[in-house]
Amino acid sequence: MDTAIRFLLWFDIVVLIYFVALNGTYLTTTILSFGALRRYAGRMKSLNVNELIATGGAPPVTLIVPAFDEEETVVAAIRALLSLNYPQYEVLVCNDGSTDGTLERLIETFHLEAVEQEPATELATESIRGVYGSRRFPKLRVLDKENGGKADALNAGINHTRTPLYCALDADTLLERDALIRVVRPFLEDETTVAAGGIIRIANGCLVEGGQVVEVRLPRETLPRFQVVEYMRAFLSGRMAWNRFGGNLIVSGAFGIFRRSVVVGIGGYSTDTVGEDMDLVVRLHRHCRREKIPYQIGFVPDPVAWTECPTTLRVLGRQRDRWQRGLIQSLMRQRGMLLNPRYGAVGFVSFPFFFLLEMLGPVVEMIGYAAFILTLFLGLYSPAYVMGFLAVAIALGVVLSVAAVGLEELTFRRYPKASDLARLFGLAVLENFGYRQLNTWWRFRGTISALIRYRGWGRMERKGFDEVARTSPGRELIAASNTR
Amino acid sequence: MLGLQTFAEMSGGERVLIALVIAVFVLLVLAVGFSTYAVWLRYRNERRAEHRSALERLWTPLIFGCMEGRFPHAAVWEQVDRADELHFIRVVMRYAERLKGESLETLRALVAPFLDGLVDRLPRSQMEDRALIIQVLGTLGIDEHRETVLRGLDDPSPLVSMVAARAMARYGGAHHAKPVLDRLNRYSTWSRGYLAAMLASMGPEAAPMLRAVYGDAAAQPWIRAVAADALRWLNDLPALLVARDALRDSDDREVVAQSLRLIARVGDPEDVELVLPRLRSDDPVIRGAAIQALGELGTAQHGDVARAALDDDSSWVTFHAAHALGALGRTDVLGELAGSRHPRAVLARQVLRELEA
Repeated sequence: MDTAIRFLLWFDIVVLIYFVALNGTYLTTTILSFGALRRYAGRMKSLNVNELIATGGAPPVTLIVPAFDEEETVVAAIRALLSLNYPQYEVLVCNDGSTDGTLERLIETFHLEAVEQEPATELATESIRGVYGSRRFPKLRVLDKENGGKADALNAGINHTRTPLYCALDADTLLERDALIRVVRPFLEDETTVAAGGIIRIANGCLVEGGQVVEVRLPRETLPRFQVVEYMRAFLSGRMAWNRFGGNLIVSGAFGIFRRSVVVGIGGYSTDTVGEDMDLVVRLHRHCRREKIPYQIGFVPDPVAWTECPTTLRVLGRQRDRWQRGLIQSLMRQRGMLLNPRYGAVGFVSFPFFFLLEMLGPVVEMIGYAAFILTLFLGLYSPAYVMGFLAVAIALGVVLSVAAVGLEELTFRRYPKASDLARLFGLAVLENFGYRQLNTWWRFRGTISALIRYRGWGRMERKGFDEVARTSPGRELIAASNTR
Repeated sequence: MLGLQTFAEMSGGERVLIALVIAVFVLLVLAVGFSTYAVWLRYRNERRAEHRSALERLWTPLIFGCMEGRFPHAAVWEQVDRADELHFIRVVMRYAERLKGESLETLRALVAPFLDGLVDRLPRSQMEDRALIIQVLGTLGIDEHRETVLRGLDDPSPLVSMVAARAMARYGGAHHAKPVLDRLNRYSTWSRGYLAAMLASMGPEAAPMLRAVYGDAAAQPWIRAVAADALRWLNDLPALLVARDALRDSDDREVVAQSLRLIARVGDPEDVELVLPRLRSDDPVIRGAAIQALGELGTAQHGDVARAALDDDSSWVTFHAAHALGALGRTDVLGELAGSRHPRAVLARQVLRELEA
C-alpha cells in the first residue's frame, strides 16, 4: 500500500512536470507569435498582391480537390474555385468513388465530357474510371476513380498534374479570391520552398454568396464558436511560432500547397494513415534533411480558406479522434527523427514537442485527472492544493486563448463587431470548463484507437453552404447560384 | 523580511499552496492584460478606420477630379493634414498601381510634396517600413527619388532590395536594368521564373543589357538562364545569336534548357541542326526542351525523330514529343499510335483531342 501511495505521489509530480512543459511551450509559442505576426503585418504593407500577379512569373498551380459524397457542396465550391485571382491555374476534382450524385452534379453543371489524359507520374492508386474535361470551363477537369480514401485521391490527382505546384484542398473549402497568390508567395521568394500552408477559418455562421464569404460572423452555436477560438490558437499562436525556425510539422490538408516533384519523389501521400497531411509534411522534413536538400516549409497567415466545422459532439469527437490517430501514426512512423541531430531543429525541438507532449499529452492528462481524484480521495493532498492546481490549469488555458484573440486583433481582425470580440473573450474563458476536457477525452480515445490499430475516417455530416445561406434572409442563395 | 521569514517557517504544502495562488494571480493579470490590449487595439483600429474612411470619402472625388483636370492639385493638398500624409500617399498608391501614362503622372504630381518627408524617415525606419517607403518612392516618385530607390538595391535587407528591384523594373524603365542586373546574385533564392518576368517587364529597351549578361560565359549560369528566359518573354530576335553560341559552348543544364526555349521562340528552321544533338542528352530536362524546340522549328520530315522521343523514359519528354508531332503536322503518326497498344496510345489520343478543340 505504501508503495502504491508513493507511486501515486510520484506520478502526480510527473503529471505536474508534464503540465509545466506542455503549457510552458504553448506560452512560449504564443509570445514568439506576437513578434512574428507584428513583423509579418509590417511586411505585408510593402507587398502588393496584385503587383505580384502583374509582374508575372507566378508558377502554374493545380488545385486538387478530393471529393467523396460531396453532392451538397461541390458545385458551389468548384464555382468559387474557378474564379480565383491567379494568372495560371486549373482545378482537378478527384471523385473518389462517391455513392451519391457528386459526379453527376459536376457533369451536368459544368458540361463535362469524357476525355483521354495520360498521367504524368505513376503513384500507385485505385483504378481510374475516367477523366472529364469541359470546353466551357477549360480550367476544370474531373477524375473519376474507385474509392481509395483521401490520400489515394490526392495521389491520383498528382499523377494527372503537370504544373510545378499543386494545392490540396478539401471539397468544402472556400478559398478567398487572392488566397492562392498569397500562399504561393513563399515559392516566389524562396525557390527552396517545398510546401506552404495558409490559415483555416470557420465558415459556420458566415454569410456566403457565390462561394465567397462576404460577411464574417461568429457561428450561432456554442460548439463551433469554441472551435473558432481553438483554430485561432492553433494557427496564430502555434504555427506562426514554429514557422520561425522551420519547425512546422503540419500543413493543413484543407489548404496546403506543395512542390509536385518533391512530393512525387517521396512517393506521394501514404494511404495507410488517417493523418495523410501531417504524415506527408513530416516525411518531407525527413527526406530533405536526410538528403541534405535545402528546403523551406512555411506557414503564411494571410491567405484564408474557410471551412465548415462539426456542430455536434458526435461528429466533432470523431474528428478529434481521427486527428489524434493521424498524429500518432505520423510520429511513430518517423520516430527515428526524435532527438536525432541529423534533423536539426526539427529533430530537437518541434518533433520532440509533438511526440512527447502533443501525442502523449491526452494520456498523461486523463490519467492525471484520475490520479488526482484518487489522491484527493485518499486524503494525500488537501482539497485546497488540488483546487489551487486546477485553478492554475484553468487560468493558463484562459491566458493562452485570450492571447490568441489578442493576436487576431493585432493582425487580421476578421470579426468586425465589438460584440463578437466580447463573445470571443467569453469563449476563451468558458472553453476551459468542459470543452477542453472533452477534447482531451476524444484525443485520449484516439490514442487508444491508434494502439489497437483502428482505421476509419468517420462520417462528416455536412449541412452544406446552401443551408447557411438559407439562414441569412434577404441575400442571394447558394442554391440560386447553383442553377445558373 | 517578515514575509520571507514567515514563508521559511511554512510547511512544504503551505509553500506550494502560496505558489499556486501567486501563479493564479499572475496568470489572471496576464489574461486581463491581453484582453485589455486586444480591446485597446480594437478601439484604436476602429477609430483609425473611421477617420481614414472619412478622409477617403473626402479625398477620392478630389483625386479623380484632379485626374480629370477639374481641380488643381492645391485643392487636394489643402485637405491633407500633416498627420495624414502617409495615409494620403497609400490611398493614391492604390490607384497608381493600376494606372499608366498621364493619369499616373497626375497622381505622382499630387503626392510629390509629401515624398521628401518619407525619404527623411528612411534611415531610422524598420525593415518593413523601409520596404514600404521604397515601394512608394518607386511607384510615385521614381524620377525625383531615383537615387534613393537605387540605394534601396543595396539595403542590407533582402526584402527592401527586392522591393527596390521591382520598383526599378516596373517604373524605372530599361535604363535601370543594369543596376538590377548587377545585383541579381542578391536574389538567388527567388523564383527564376519570377525574376525573369520582372526583368522582362522593363521592356524591349532592356534587351541589350540582358543579352550582355546572357552571353557572358563568366556570369553565374543561373543568372544567364534568367536573362535568357527574360529575353524569351520579350521575343527578342537578336538574342538568337547569343542562344546559338550558348548552345554550342555551354553544358550547364539551366543555360542549355533556356537557350533551347529561346530558340524555340525566335529561332529559324536552320536552328534545328543545333537542337537535334540535345535530344540525346542524358538530362530529361534538356531532352524535353529540345523536343519542344523541334516541334516549333522543324518540319514534317522530323516526324520520325519526334516519334522516337515517344519511347523516352521521361513522361515529360514523351508529353512534349506528342505535342511536337502535332505541331509538325504529323497527326498521322498520332492517329496510328492512338489506335494501337503502344504505351503512349492514351497520350496520342489526348493530343489529338486537344488539336481538334
